[in-house]
Amino acid sequence: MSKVSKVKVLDSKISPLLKNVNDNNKKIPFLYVPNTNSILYGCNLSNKIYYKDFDLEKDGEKVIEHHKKSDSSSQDKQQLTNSIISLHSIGENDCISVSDTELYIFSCTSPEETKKHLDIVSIPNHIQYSPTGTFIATASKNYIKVASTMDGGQINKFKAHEGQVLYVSYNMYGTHLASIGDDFKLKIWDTNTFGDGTVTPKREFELDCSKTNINHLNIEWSPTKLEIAVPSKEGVVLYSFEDENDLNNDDGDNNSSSSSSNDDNDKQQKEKYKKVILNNEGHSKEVIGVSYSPNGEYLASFGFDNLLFVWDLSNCEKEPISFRKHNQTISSLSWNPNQNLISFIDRKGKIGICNNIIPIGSRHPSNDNVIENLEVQNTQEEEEGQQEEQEQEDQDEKMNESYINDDEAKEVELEDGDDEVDYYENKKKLLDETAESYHSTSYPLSSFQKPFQIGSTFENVYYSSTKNKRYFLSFNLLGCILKREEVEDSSADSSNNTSSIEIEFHQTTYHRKLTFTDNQYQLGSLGSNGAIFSTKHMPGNTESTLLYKAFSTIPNNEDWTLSFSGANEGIVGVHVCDNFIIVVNAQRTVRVFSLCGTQLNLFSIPGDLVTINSHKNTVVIVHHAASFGSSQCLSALVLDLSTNHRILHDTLALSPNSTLSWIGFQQTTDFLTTYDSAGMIRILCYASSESKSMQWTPLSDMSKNVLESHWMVGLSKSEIYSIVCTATKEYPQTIPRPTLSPNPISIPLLPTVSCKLEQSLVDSKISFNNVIHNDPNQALLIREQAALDSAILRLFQLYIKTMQFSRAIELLYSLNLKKSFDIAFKCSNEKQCSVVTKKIIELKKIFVQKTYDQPSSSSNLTSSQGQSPEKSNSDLKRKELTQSAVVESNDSSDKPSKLFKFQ
Amino acid sequence: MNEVSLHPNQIEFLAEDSTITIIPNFKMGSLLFLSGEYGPFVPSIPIDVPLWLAISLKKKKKCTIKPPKWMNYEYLNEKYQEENKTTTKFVEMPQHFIEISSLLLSTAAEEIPNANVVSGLIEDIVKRRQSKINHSFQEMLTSVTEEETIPVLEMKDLTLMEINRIRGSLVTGLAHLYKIKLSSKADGDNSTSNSSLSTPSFTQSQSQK
Repeated sequence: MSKVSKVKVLDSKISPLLKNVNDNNKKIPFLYVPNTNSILYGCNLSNKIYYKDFDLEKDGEKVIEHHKKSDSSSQDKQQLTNSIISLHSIGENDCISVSDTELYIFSCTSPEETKKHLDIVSIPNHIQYSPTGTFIATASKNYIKVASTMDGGQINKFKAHEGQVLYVSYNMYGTHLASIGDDFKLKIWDTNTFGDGTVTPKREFELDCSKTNINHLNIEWSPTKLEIAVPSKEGVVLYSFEDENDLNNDDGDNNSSSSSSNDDNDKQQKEKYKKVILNNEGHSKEVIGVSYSPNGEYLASFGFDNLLFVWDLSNCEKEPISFRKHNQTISSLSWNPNQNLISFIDRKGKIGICNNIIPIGSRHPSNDNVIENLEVQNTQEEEEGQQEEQEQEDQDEKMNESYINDDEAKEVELEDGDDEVDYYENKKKLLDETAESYHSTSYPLSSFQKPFQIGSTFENVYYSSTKNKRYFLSFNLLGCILKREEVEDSSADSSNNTSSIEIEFHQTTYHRKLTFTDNQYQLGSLGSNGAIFSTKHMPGNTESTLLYKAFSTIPNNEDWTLSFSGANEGIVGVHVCDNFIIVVNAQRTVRVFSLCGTQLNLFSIPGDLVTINSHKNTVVIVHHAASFGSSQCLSALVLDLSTNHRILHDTLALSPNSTLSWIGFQQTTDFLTTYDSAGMIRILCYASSESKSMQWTPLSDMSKNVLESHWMVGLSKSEIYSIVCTATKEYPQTIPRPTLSPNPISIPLLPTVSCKLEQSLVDSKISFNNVIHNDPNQALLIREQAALDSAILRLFQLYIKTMQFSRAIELLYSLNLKKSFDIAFKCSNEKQCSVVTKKIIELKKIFVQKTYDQPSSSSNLTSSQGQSPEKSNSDLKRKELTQSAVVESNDSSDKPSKLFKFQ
Repeated sequence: MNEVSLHPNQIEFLAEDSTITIIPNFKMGSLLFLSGEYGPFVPSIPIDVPLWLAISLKKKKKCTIKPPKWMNYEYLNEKYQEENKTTTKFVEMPQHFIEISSLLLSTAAEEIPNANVVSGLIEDIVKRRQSKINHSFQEMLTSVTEEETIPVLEMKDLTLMEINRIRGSLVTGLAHLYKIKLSSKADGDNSTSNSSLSTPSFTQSQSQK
């Protein structure tokens, strides 16, 4: 929906540990093993290392557990838990892990070959291999220790910082080591001097960060040149040096004056380094981490604003070339060694995968090729990164139906094809297994939802890189408008394109198929009498054109076009209802046209348009109202265009952090219904039978199955019509023509034993409330009352059966018909529940008295009847007889007469 | 032939009662049939109707038929592989799969993905099953000796069409065999050569069928 690609989020094995930890003060070690597609990670709350291999199909996660939990006695003494503090790797067989007591060198392919080194200095904070793998640098309190990997022998240990040394990093040649410490200093050391007695830093810089975050910072050397990236409050700071001599050029004064930052330029010249800050259009909050791409062309940075930016280092002045938004603060980040992909882990232990991080036309982050096609990348990633998803997609295609959806659907399956059950059962199992690892997809929610057309896939397809785009301008229960874009050559000359628009109807007899060529229209709406097309408001485009195609039998009589220019008239939404056309421009002005093109009315809406839909001449216009923090607030204006009567102007109820995906009216009842990106369908219906107050009732949760997404098209009284799409492609394809699948409405009540019956009770209550407020005739009212009572009685029967008498009695108060009391009476009498039976008799007495003494008290049903009780008696009796067909009951002629005794 | 054998057309008629999902492109109220109420028909909303109705609507270009779930390459291929695994047992197939597939492939082939492959696979499955049936009869009949009675032959998961196909020849064949058995018993000791002669001749005809 938005141009920002989404971040795929996977649950990691450590996320349950981190779930309830609010302030974990340690960075989570997380990195790609070089030259593989595998990720190594761990966390300071467990002693296990996880090795997630995306090349393996499933269970690509290995647990490496060589850090044994220390026995409880020592734990008590020293508070040491032997949990993972830092990991580093320079190849599959050269990995190091360090806990607070032990250091291991291991191979992630065969973890049993583990070498242990016991002698570590106090509690380490970070560990890193030298590029050749011969040394390990360990950062701990005050000291940096460099040890040989061969025997673990100490090469050197020197005092580096006052306080904790937090992070160390070797440059690409291993000639220099950079370190940061909680004395807010960045120091660069020459590794050749490590053998000497005293080690002095070659350079010292001030760190610009807040105290609370210093534990989370990381620094990194560029893999191709002498440049180090350091996060700061202002942005990413790059210190680059011409050559090694510049770095080693000891003038002797670097220790003394480096802390003063006034004469920055002088210092730069003297010390021969260049300082660049990447902050153009970048982070709004403090940066906490940086990472160079494998080829050193790009730099990824992440900060407290939960944003991830990628910078092109060939032009540091430029704004970032790519960004992603996540819902958590990122803890560690790593580039995939081979693909155009970044993975990260957030502070809650969720792994995020950002595909296609470098946009088309730029150079690939790990090799020198120019990225030409996202599609290829996509499939590659799916192969290596998202095996699960790929499988799910395959499964979905295989079965192409929604039968795995819920229990009800399964039951149907069982009924109509016993021989298929095994086959589908197996598939379902498979799916369940794969579904476990696939957790959720988070959407980047740009604070404001862009305007969209109901039933259009334009937004989904238009920004993709495919050449000949096919998308729906409109897809509703009447038909669809399909746009084919034919690009003959890749040159930008758009006048040569022979794109076309096709209008097709589901009901073939409604109107013949319409096809015409067009190169400009991107917005469209299909109504019962015609279709309206319009150009979309784009920056820089001041020309706007409207085209109306009428479906009347007189050819070419009513078609009209209207072109106008003006920067303020850019059209953001169009809609055609039965007799009117609505055009909304970027200036929030709503223009109402007649079908033949006369301008009838115009008015303003208080916020930016989101979408428009209609039913007959009732139109709903959704616009932005306000926003609270990062979540948006939408308002719906419902008006009848034929009378210009404003029916409703209210805030929409949407799931948190979701966007509106569909809005429209339920057929037959005309209730406003919304569908949001979280998969919840809500309906605005009457809250009670007495007053006309309305409430948003959740009608159905379509997100039960994580493998499919529903692209909503409409809903009737009992069913929701949607197009089932896969979780990865959330919009319908044009070929093959999508088919609607009806889903039963199931009100999301909590799953109890009686949940199904309660659902039908709520359902019939909604329908009853609707009928009451629409001035029904007698017969209809009684039918609705009977339907409601039958739902109540079914629940009543269940309670009687399961001996829940107080619940059963509770229900009796809401019965609407005298006949229902008789049925309840019979039911409880059969089970010999004297308590309930007594109560029924009592309640019935009250009910009858109420109905006959004040005929118009409860409802208007008796208002038309005469005053004489005798007459209404007989009337009611007749009514009872008519409804006896509706309410399932065995009619017994003696029952009514017997019951009249109670009066 | 004293057993009443159904004509393939009659079996097809029976198969036409099974329900199938169609997507109508017309608007109509419900239809009331002996088998139940179908409808109302709303354009583009899928609905279940009997196969015969679906086919007649399809011929009038009033609907598109959604092929049954089993009518795809993956499922049928799996079944075919399973079928090839054993030589005596049969794989459970959807009811009336031969009839339904032939009807759909002849009227609505364009709506079945990979219709050619699917029809080939179905043919393969049918042939494989047929040869299994023939084979197991041959086995059974050759195992008949003068001492033993006709052995019990258990065949599960045959469809109506397949049962019907073998019914005529099998019933008459077995009746013949029984007659020979009786006569050989009545003739006593000199009949041994007779019966052993007649049995192979029957199997010959069976395998030719």
